[in-house]
Amino acid sequence: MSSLKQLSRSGPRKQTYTPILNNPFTQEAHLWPHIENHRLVAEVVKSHVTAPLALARDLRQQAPFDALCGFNSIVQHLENPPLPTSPVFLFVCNKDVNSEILLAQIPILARVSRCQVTLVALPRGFVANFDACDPHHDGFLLVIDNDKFDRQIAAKLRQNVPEPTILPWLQYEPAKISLVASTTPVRSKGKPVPKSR
Amino acid sequence: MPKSAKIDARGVIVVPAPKSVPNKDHLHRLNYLYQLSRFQAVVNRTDPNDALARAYGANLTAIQQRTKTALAPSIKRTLCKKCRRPLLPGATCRPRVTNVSKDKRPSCDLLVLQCTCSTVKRFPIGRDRSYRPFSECDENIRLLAGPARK
Repeated sequence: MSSLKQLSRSGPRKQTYTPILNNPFTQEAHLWPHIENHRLVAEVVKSHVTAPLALARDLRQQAPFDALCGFNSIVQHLENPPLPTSPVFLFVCNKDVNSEILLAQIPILARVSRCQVTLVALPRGFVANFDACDPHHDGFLLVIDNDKFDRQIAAKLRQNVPEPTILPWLQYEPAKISLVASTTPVRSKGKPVPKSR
Repeated sequence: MPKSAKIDARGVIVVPAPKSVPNKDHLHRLNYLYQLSRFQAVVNRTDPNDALARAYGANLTAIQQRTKTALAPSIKRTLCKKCRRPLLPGATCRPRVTNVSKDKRPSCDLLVLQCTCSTVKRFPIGRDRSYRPFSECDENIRLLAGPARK
């Protein structure tokens, strides 16, 4: 309906409710680990991960540790991790990346991957720190926890980031049924529509 | 139209939301099949064809079509339309962000989910990053009073 004339011609509408089955695996608590001391974690990441990477990029030097930026390169690494597999830290600005479909891939990928992934969800606004590291970061940064990465920082991050809970698909979740509110035109039961000859 | 009916500002007759849902069994059955399909896809990795996961997925689709039950877009996104395999990144599908525009405009970003059977699902994520389908917007959803089943 575009014109006012069409709007005035349209009859009365009635609210309807359609039952719909929601995805049982959308609980954010299961997917993203809740970090209690998120300020400390953000400060550690800023000073020991993003700042050295930004400095190395400015000076056009090699990064002090192995890091990957961008969705595609991170997904490729998690799908086929190079042997021997080393644990990784996956930093995600999940509050800044708006695309829900893109974000929904990450927690499942982290659980399914053969390498041990520590998922670190960063607070809102942290994505500005990623810009200095790599312009094509998409809100994701992966750091490989090998000999090049500081052991103390890795231990501090692991201490503050909780271990992932039980795999969500190993537990039966009850059906999440909700109603979608929509409208339908009200049909008058009075006069039947005359047949055109 | 009865005179006592409430009409809102848009001229829509307001009807209170029902407290229960008819044919709940179908929804419970579909939910169980969906979870079973995903479980088999993750746990039973020895079978390259994912036969059991696909069988449950096909069952789910058949029952959904026969009973005309609505599924949320978040469920439909995670099922392959061709082989009925549950799409799990890293296990049964390959997610990639592509951009085929000449000047690589961010608005042309596409999320491509390629299933093991090589079927592709494309989502234009760059056009509107905050896009949510109608049935996922909070203002259009009314939750039922309690949990469906304990």
